[in-house]
Amino acid sequence: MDEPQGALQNLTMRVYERLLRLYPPRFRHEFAGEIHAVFQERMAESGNWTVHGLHETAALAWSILRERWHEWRTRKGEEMGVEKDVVMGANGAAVLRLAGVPQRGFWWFLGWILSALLVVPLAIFTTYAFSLPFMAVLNLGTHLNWWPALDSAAWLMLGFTAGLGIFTAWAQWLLLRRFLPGASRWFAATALGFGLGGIIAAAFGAANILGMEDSFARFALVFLAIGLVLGLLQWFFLRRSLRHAAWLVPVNLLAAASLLPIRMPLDWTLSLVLLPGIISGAGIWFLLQREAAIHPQAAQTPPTRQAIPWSRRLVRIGMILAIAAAVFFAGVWINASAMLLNAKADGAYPTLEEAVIQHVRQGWEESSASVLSVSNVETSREVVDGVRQHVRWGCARIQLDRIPARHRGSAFPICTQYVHTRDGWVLMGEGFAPFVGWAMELFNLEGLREFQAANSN
Amino acid sequence: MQPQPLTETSFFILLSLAAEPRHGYGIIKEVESMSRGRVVLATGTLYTALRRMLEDGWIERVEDGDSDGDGRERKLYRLTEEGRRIFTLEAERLKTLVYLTSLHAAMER
Repeated sequence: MDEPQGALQNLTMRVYERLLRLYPPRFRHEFAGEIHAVFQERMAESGNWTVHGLHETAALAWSILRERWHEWRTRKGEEMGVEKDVVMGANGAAVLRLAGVPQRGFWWFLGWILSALLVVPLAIFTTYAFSLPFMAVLNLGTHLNWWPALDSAAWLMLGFTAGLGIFTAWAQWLLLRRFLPGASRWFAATALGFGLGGIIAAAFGAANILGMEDSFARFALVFLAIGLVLGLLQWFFLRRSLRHAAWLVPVNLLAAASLLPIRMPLDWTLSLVLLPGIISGAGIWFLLQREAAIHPQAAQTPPTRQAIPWSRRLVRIGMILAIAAAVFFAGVWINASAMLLNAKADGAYPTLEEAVIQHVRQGWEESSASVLSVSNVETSREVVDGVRQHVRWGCARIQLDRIPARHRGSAFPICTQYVHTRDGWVLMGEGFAPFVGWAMELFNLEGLREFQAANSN
Repeated sequence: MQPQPLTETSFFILLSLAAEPRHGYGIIKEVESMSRGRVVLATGTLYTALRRMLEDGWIERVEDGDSDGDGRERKLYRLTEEGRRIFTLEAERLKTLVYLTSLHAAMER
């Protein structure tokens, strides 16, 4: 054997041995010794080390990938073993797993209520991101003359309910997976229920019945449609896992109906979403208790999760945080870009004063009262922190020809928020301007840097 | 229930074990010989297939009593009843295909 050939053999052998360590521990422990021995035998008889060595090494790398994938799926299956509906009974026979009851009931219930509270701002925040596919479909339908042009409220509502459904389903699945056989079906039923409910609500024009000012009542009406569809779907998906699953229909309806009497702006009453959370949590708790009363042995021995090493937990948490951060910033960008596009479509003006006058006139044209005059236009106050020159208040005093509903007189001041774009000043919805202004800074949207540079000189 | 058709690699491994239990290296050599050099199993590929067959209960691993160069006990692989059933079903399926093909060829003549 000449020297280059010997060096190649040594190199191949070393690479092969190093690669063997990359197998998952279980497989490595079981087979690595044999693989090494067989590889040595193969190479010992081989006349062409280069070809055979490459072939063996490439196949080993592929085998490692396959075993890693297999191991990951197996571990996933073991960790989620509690999720499976079939477990081994005392006599060794496979039996259907029974529903259990959370042992730390208070914390479980608190988690349920908090999740109901937290998913709403999450859904609001991601509304534009979830709205995009609906917007595309609705605009396509309008383009093909299947239906008339729809108000943006329709696709915003669909985006909101889709986000709400996915976040709610995920949070509840996390809380139920240890106790409810077929909790993955709960996820499907909940996400689908919110989605279908939103579509039904939008299809019947519920979004426009009460007008923009009653935004929370409008949301609540949508929730009622969602409650019904959600209850029916949860019953359908879980009727074999929970004996009294039919109760999920009135529970969800009641939870949704609890929002109806509330008639205040959404921003002020967000915390009242707690009420449906309490009702739905109490409902599922009651059903799990009933099930456990029928099968007391299940309640005594709830399935337990396998302990996951801290290192893996940290990696998992890191990955989740990284994905969440990516989704968050993508959502911020999409939301701000979409809102700026919409705002520009409604009109962009070279000066803030002109923008205020035009928007005040346009805004009241649609009401029963007519604008007689706009005076005292004032645009000097900056929004929130006073440092963002591209986000401003625009105020004016208006004189109407009659006293409109919920007003004491026909003359009063009006203030709205505006942001500066490449096309000029645009009206930004109440409360959204600081958020969009921040996103513009973050992603340098609408040529903000140039605007800031020009204003600083 | 009718199992899915086997891959060529799986079929050759079962075929090599149908006659007698073999070591990993023996399986590779037998497959190479039976396929007249067309199917050359790499070691990693073989053991991934063997692991799957062990999990599916088609084969089992037994001690040989012999040891390899490093002093480790060598392992033999042999077909289980289930493995033999799967192999027989696949062989029957292939036989039927060959029969149908020859029938079709005869009718065209």
